[in-house]
Amino acid sequence: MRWLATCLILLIIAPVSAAPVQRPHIETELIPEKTSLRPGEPATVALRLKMEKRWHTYWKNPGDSGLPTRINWTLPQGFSAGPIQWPAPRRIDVGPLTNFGYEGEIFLLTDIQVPAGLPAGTAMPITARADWLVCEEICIPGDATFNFMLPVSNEPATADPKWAKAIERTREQLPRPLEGWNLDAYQRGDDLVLRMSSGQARVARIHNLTLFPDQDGWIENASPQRMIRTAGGYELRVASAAAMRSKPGPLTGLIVAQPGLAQGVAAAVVTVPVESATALADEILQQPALSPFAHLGLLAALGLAFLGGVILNLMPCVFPVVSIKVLSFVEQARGHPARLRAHGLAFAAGVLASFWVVAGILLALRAQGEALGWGYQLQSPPVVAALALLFFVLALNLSGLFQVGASLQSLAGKLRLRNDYADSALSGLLATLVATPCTAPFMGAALGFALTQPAIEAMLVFSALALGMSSPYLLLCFWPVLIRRVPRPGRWMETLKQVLAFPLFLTVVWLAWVLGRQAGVDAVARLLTGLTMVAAALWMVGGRGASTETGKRAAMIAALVLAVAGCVFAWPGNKTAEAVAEEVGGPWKRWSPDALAAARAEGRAVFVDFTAAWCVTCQVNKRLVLESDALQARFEERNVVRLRADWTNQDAQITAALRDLGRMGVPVYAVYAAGSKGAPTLLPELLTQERVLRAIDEAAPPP
Amino acid sequence: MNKLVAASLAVSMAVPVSVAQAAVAPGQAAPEFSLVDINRKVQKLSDYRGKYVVLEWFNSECPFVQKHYESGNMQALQARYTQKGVVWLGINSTSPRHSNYRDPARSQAILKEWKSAPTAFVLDPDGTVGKQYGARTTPHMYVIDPNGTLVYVGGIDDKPSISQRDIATAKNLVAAALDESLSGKPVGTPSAMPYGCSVKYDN
Repeated sequence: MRWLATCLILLIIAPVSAAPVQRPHIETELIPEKTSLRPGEPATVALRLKMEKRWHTYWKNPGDSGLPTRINWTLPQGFSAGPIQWPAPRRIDVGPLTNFGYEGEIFLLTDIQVPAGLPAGTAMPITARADWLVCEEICIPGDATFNFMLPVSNEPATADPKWAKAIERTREQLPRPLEGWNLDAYQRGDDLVLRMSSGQARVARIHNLTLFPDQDGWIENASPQRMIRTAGGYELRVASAAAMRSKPGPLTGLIVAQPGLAQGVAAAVVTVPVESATALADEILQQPALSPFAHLGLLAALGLAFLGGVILNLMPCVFPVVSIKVLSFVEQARGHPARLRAHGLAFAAGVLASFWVVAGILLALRAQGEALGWGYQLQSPPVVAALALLFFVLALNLSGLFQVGASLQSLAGKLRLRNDYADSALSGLLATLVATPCTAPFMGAALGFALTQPAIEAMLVFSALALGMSSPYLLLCFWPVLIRRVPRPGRWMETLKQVLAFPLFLTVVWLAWVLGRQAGVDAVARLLTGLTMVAAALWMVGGRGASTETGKRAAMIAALVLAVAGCVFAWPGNKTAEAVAEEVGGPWKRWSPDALAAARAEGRAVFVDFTAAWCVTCQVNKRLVLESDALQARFEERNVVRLRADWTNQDAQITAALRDLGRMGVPVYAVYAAGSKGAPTLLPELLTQERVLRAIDEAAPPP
Repeated sequence: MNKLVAASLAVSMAVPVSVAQAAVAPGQAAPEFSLVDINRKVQKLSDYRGKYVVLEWFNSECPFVQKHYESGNMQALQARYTQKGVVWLGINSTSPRHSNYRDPARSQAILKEWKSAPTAFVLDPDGTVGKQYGARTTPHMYVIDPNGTLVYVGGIDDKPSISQRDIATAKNLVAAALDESLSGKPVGTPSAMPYGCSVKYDN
């Protein structure tokens, strides 16, 4: 009987959950997680907000505009509601402003304390009024009041099956305290810098690191947040708000990253005191972007990039390839101005496209937090080996060991023409490839600027560089007067081609040397063996080995096998040999932030050579200028500390230091004056003895 | 060194800046501007040197602006302080391409309906001045002293909400800044979080 009564009561007061409420652009609903209350146990209630596509509601700090969603509870005596447990928000850009909020469907959870002495069998009324602002381009405020009754039962409460999963998932994804990372923050220049270090040998890969402060006024909400991979972890740089200096207390907020900050933790709650740079004794922290170029405008950067591109043609890595190109222009298009122009354009398109590809990869990897700079392609031994192979084959071709596309010559002129244009575009690509190890004057500043800009501006800078590099050919092709100064094609061209093979062979030697620095002498031996095999294969293709048809076919197959075997054999793998890269010895000490800080703390002048084995400009400067007796004597006389930062292989610390100097590639020469705590002077990419002597005089004046 | 910074800043101005990068703070000089008002008269900030000036970012279609106008709150502030010699400039930085844009004639009608009485109401359709001041929301309020220095930047009051009921219990920070300034005292709260709709800038 009693059992029946209970059943009846339960039936009457079964949970009257509030039905979904439709409001403009949003559907809302208040959902108790469990179908009954248990005395003394907290109960979770979820406010479900489902926004129309492109509409959003706000996090507790709404960002540049907007208003957080609020819930006002009316509860029976003895009950109390906790705060909203906010899921991690996302950045929502509205024109030039940025908000922090939610799109799609979300559940805002609130825990309600249920008093212990509640009699079972009764039912409790829960009332809540929710206020929200839902915005797309325009904003519409809304509110709704929800009522429901929940029965009280001493039995364990069961979950409402309809929403249990969604609520559980929301709870799992709630931000948790940060574990496994050490965090500190400081103000550097206009940036708030958040440093995360894992203290482990292998730093977990994360990307899209984003900071959401709990309060407005810490950061410029709309400024892009820049994530950088450092030696021990990551660094996040965020433009700080103008009013930040007056903010009391530590910075509290969330950090969010993909795939997560720890196993199953996508968002973490952080509290970190923000030290001002002046309060930090650590001097390294006081190196904001010091070069005057760091504040370059876009126009100035484009101009410098263009100029750098033009000069790039004269650098030792590009010149031989380019002379071949000029020759082929003369040959292919003499007397046909229109054809000549088309060749010029095809070449420029090739250069542009390859710059875009290389820069695109660079930007994409950077966006994921990889510490990379210009020249990253050559920091990988397989790429160096592949380049060596390419140049070797090219040089053999020029020497006349074999002909490419000889059979094509018998085809219709039209087809051949098309093939020629593709050839011009390919030479453009080749020119870009060989240009990477060289940094021309002005290029460093422009690339450094590109680094700090959003992707579109960065791509514009790279495009200007590409246009600058191809501009001499465009000029040549659009003003054939210039090309008429070149003698008529004839026997001399064949001879010149064969002569030009030799600089290319030298390039191969240089690449082999770079590979040796990166991967050791064994890798070089394998490369050279591989090259020999490829040479033999090409010799067979040249048809010198056999006279009969069958013999030729057999030779072709053998050649193919040999060539593939050669390539496989030459493949160096991605292992890099740490110690062999750049010489650090004699008067040159290895650079590290600590070594630099120590030398400066002693009040000595410091000269830092940021270099790499694959950087031809660096090597030229080193041999001709830096290692000269006159300079070494002057360094000694003035007690200048010489540090060498070797970027031959990837090195996050050096990349970070370059970035601080406003650069993204080598060479960079930084001179720190004796006894000064200020910014270093940056020397031009092409050194002269006079310039370095003057820099030494300025940094360490004669006693 | 300062010259260098100034020069590089001048160069960097060639690049379009985001709202935030250009934001101004209390204690800084208020950037000069020259905008046409809805009566086709040119309003220059420097014309009002020697007087307190209030800048009010406005968008009649924004529910937060409506909160302060439909309650009569904003009109009361305008009347009270213009009587004391304060110059009150309403500014609308809404882009003509946005659905919230109202042309000068329509703006005049709306202001009349609301009995709004600012000293002048100016239009900033390309958003230049709004971005220069870092105006984020409507309303976003600025108080400038007779020397042209900003003494208050931020929200109209300290209760970010959409509800008119909250006006009575909120502390009006613009009124506080003006009262303190007019009686020769330093401003107690020189900046606060602005709240409202985003300014509908041209992208």
